[in-house]
Amino acid sequence: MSSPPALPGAAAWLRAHAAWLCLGGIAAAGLLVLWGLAAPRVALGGLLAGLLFWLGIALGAYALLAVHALTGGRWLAAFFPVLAAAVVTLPVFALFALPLLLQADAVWPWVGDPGAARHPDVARWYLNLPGFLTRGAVALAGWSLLGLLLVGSGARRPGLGAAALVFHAVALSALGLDWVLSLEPAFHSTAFGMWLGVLQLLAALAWCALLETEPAGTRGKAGDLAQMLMAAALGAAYLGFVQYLVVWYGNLPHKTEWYLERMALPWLPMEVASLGLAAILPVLALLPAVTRRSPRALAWVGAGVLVGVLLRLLWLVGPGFGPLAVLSGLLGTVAVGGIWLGLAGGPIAARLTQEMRHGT
Amino acid sequence: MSGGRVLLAEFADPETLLDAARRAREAGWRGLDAHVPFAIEGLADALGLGGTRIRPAMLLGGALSGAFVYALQWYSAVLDYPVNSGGRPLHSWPVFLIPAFEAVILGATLTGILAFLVSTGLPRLHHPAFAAHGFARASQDRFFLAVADPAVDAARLAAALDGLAPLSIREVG
Repeated sequence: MSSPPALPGAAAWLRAHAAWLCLGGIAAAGLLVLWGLAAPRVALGGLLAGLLFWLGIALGAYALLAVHALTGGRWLAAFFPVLAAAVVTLPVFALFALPLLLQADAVWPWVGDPGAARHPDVARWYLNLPGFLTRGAVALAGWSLLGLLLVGSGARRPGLGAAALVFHAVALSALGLDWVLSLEPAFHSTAFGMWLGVLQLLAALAWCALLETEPAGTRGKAGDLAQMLMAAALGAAYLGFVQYLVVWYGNLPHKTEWYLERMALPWLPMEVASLGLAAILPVLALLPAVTRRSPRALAWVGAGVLVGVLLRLLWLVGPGFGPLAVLSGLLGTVAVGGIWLGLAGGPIAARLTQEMRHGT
Repeated sequence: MSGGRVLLAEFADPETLLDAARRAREAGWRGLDAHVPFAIEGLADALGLGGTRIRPAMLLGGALSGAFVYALQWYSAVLDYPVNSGGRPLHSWPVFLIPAFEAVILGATLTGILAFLVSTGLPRLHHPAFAAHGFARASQDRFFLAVADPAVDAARLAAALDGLAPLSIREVG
């Protein structure tokens, strides 16, 4: 077995600093726990935002592996080590979700007060704690299990890919509604699960771009990554905008309220920045062939997109928790990210690169 | 594209064609082209062909078409037939954006197809190179270098390609 090839830029840095990242993550987690002792609600909201960001990268990776298992093609080979490392560490997220699930009444208003749900029947049949916990557990367990199967198979397996995607669509819709939308139960949007899914694809692709995963000889030549990034950015912008458009046109008080709340400070600048970084930047920057084929330019675009997606998630989760949720959200992102990267970017990724070298 | 005299040098593999193209370019000849069965990396550089202008044309086509559709909606909703629909502003930009976006895609695509046809001279039924016997293999397993420079004749081309062993050198047109 040959030694793993030298990794470029960010990936090498991540691997070399895995232990430090882990320590930094634990330190941030400690701070978040201290904050949680004083104000549990804001701290848990921050944890939720951080969890959704990193879980989003792993789930985007899961979706890409599933699409590849279904359709095949050589485009995945260059990204496989990074995506596979993200997918095999999906079980870790159950650990991060534990504080949220144990303290659900501090985070989701309908847990303590079923009257907060839109209709008594909604609380009775769907938005109740046992159902919420079951759906969360089934979703995380299913993603972990199917993810391991997807990584293990490596090659094209349409049956597995189809099953994984069908499960993903249902589980992600449930996750979006349960964990994000039900923070403000009066608002609902049928396109939300799909939007979240495309945002996650975008984040996973941006993650690949940032880590410059393609091998040195063929890097950027096909322009696959740039094209997928652009398509995902357009898709995410389109789905996000369409939801706004429907609400704008419908002009119903309980739905406009959700957006009005997000047009106040500090959320509006975050929305604008997210639009610029996760939608306009990738689409415009990747128009010229020069940037599409330059790994360095792609890495910068990837970094911008990731910041944009993070801002978008803070914008989605935060307003219910108040302006301080921006800070706790950033802290939660560092905490979850540090610990997860210590695992996914370090030992597990190294192991996978070695094991998969002959398989792909 | 010129209807004049064209010299064709035939090769059996893409690497030799690339070498030949570089030599022809270094000799400073004009009117270089190649006829090959598949895309060869670096061929456009070796021939000194400039970048295609299709991309800027598509950008312009998309922008114009998007602006037109947005202006059309604005004109019909604000000037020509203003209707107060539930108190929404006449200039409902969130709604106007969607057709404008679709029009950008449509306009860019159509411009791209048109620009491709115009820039390649398609559709055309005849090309002088068709007169060369066996030229049909340019779409199968042969690689042709075309030189349309009045200053170059078959002997000069053969001298320039010395050592590359072209399968044939012919003058058509």
